[in-house]
Amino acid sequence: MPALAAPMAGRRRGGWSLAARNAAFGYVLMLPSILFFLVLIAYPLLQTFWISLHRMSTLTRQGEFVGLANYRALLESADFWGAFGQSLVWTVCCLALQMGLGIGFALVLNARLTFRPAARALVLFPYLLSTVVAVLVWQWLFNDMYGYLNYLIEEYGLSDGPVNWLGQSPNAMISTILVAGWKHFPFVTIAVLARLQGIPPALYDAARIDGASAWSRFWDITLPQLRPVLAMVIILRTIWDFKEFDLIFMMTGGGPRSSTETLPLLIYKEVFPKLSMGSGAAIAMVMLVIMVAFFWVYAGQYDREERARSR
Amino acid sequence: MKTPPMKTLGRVLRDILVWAVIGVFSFPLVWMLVTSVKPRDQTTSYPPALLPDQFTLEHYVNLLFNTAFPRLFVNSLFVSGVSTLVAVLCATAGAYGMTRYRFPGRSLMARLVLFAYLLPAVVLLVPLYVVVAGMGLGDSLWGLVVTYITFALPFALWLLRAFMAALPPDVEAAAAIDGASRWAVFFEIVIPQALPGIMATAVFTFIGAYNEYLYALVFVNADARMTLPPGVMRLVKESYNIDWNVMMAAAVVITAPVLVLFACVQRHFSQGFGAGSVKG
Amino acid sequence: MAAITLNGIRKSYGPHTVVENLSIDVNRGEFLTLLGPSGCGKSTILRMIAGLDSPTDGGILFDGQRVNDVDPARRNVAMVFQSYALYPHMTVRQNLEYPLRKRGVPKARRAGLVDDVAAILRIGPLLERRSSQLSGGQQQRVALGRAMIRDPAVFLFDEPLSNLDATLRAHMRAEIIRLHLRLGKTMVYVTHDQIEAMTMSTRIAVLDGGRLLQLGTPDEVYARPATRFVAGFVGTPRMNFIPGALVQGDAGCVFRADGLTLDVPVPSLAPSGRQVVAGIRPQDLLPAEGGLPGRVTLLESTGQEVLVTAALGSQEVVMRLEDANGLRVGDTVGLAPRPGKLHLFDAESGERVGP
Repeated sequence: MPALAAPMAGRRRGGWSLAARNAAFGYVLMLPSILFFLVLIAYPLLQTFWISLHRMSTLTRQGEFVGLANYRALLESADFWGAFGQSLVWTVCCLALQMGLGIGFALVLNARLTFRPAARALVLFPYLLSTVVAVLVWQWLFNDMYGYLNYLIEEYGLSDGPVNWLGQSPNAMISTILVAGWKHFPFVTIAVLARLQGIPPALYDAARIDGASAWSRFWDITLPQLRPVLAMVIILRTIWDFKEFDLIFMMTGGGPRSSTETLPLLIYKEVFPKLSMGSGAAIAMVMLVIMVAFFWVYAGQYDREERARSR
Repeated sequence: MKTPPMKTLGRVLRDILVWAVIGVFSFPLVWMLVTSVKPRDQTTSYPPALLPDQFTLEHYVNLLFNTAFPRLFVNSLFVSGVSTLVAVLCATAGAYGMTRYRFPGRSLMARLVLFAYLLPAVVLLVPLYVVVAGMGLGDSLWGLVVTYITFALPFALWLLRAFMAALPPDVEAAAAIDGASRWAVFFEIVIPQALPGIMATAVFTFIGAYNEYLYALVFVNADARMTLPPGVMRLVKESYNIDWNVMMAAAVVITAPVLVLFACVQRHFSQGFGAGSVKG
Repeated sequence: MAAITLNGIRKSYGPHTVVENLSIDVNRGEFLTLLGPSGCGKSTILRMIAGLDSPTDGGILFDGQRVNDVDPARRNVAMVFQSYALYPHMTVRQNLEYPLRKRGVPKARRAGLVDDVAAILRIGPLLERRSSQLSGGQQQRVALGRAMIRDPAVFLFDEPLSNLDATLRAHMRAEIIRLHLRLGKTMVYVTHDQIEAMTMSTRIAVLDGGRLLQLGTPDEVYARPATRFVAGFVGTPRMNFIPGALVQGDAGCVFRADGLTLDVPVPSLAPSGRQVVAGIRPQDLLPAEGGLPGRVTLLESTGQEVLVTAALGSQEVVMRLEDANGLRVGDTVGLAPRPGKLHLFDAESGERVGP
């Protein structure tokens, strides 16, 4: 059997062990990604921290070291605490609205329905829209002169005059939350629907034979099966709603009178209109810390899921 | 088995109710489409006509020939296309390396990818401004491409990792035993199998980049280099009298490529937007 | 010199040891089966021979040369997988040609080799189909063909028949035996199916928990199982086990079952009082006047034989008879082991005691 020995010629290539050569190849494949991560994510994150310790103008990018002064100023700033509170309100309300609509539509679309594929496509549609498109459409619907919503309200006498949807204080926040709910609930629907379809029908058949009512079938079978996916979706949507910039900024620009200014918008305002890079970076650091907390929760849940799946 | 008539009636009523709710939620889209093909005088009439008595394409013509829209569109395609290409090329190799090869720091790397994927763009805004200016790419489309890598690459890596992990490892082992080098396994066995996943990832990454607003707003100022989202918003804000017909036509045209691309890969939808994390 | 030598192989993933201090010489041209339950490390061993995994400790030698750090592509082994592992994006022909292309075989010669292999395995009509369009049995033939076509020095099989249905499995088993006879190549075969191991192998290596329990010909493993685990794993129906001790009887040493009036002379051993477990295969348990009284609890007839389950005190034993002779459930039957067919294992270690 000479063939066995024949290919041995090149065996000590570089004298590396098989495991080491495999590991090296793994690194080579990852190298471009690692480089981009270092230059475009790791280094900028460090920079954020470094800049947050300086008083620095956005125009000159020259600054003096001021230690924690930017952070101290934040704690005493009404703008910061206002934005913080608005972020909280925004995130919680968006989440509740999206979860409610998302789960509701998932249950409806999982049941029998005429033209169900078409219904699914239509329900998913808002999620595909570019944020700028969603904003344009809704601003047009909200338009105080020719907007369709004000026409409906006047036609059915729901209000004395036209509603100022975006230009006045609680209204702007509520309107924007409604738009965000409309745009993002399909994400919840997709995730929940996918899980619903994975529940073996035999479970329901067995429960029906055991005499369980529709309500107890939902409570005892559907809900426990959905729990893991709901946990994931809640965390993800919390993260994404919390960091939302595009939709709010295009919709209201943070106004009127900063009433829709959340933390991401405040960062933008500090760095660009106010040209104060240092304090913008300090707020970014605060957001980063909050994000890391969210990330921990998410990663923990993700690992639990992975383990459950591999079992 | 015959269904009793009461039950059938109940089902029909329920279907009608569900479709009415879906109609309400889809109304903004209908309104967008209708406004874009409605003559101008019927747009500002009272009551607003749900269906106009005549259709016109004048707003589309207007949009394409009398506004900056075509240039914005081309810029958007360029930035999204290039950043998607770079991100998906790197991510294909990276995701394969991450799922199939054991090396120190592998699980840490997976963690970092997830972290970067969830990282808010606004947190990187300040330092990226410095980095891009440092590269001499301030106010340029290439600078924008660089910043788009920060979200496109983690996103593509995260998606492709799920796709790669789902490939059967035995097939790669068979190729290695059949005499293929590591690179040959990657190019001849892995990539052809992962191609649908790579295409889907490219589409989702492209859509993400195409829709991006914040970096486009901050990193580009000159009209000639503006992309769609901030460019269109500027058209709205800077016009004294907003032409909503043209704006709705713009909304339709912006949506069109997304729809076409999405239709190509919609089988992978729940994996895609859920980023492989909620397919549970 | 042995074709493949595994020399003190250990494989662990972190704190997890999958294979422990394993040494086997695979002779040239032999068909060696690695037999064991799932998780016993047999597939890991095969993957290390192929170069898909590398051992944590110990050496793998081909023809006496250490190959631990040789890439799979350079080992000149072929492997057939349980999942078949055909290239799904290629046709059958392209699948068969792939190993040839990787070895630089010229195109004209490739076509000839493909035709030869296709003729042997009767897959000629399938050549232009995509591998994903084939049935399981067809895919397995193609996988065999892809292994044969490059004339490797060693064939490795990783449970190649487990995904096939029973009829097809018996058929492919015969096909692989014929392949071994025809090619005379060294083959290492992994399975958890003792029938496959018994019918195909030159020698069997029985593994459990990452350790080699016994290495021998099928007859040796069957007739003299080295441990209680091997005894229980090889042979259907399963061997009966009865706990007891080695004590002094009327005429020398006897095995005395716990709680039963069963004494079996084992003259070759010392009546040390040692706790042991006796093993008796179902066909070595005979109905006998004055034997142990067993109450019949179950009768299973396959037409050509009858399995009689009987309760002996608190435990059940199975006896294999050619016909039931009017035996019914509830009857009492006398049971006695066939002389000289008692296997004794240490109660603690499970090691074989005596000859």
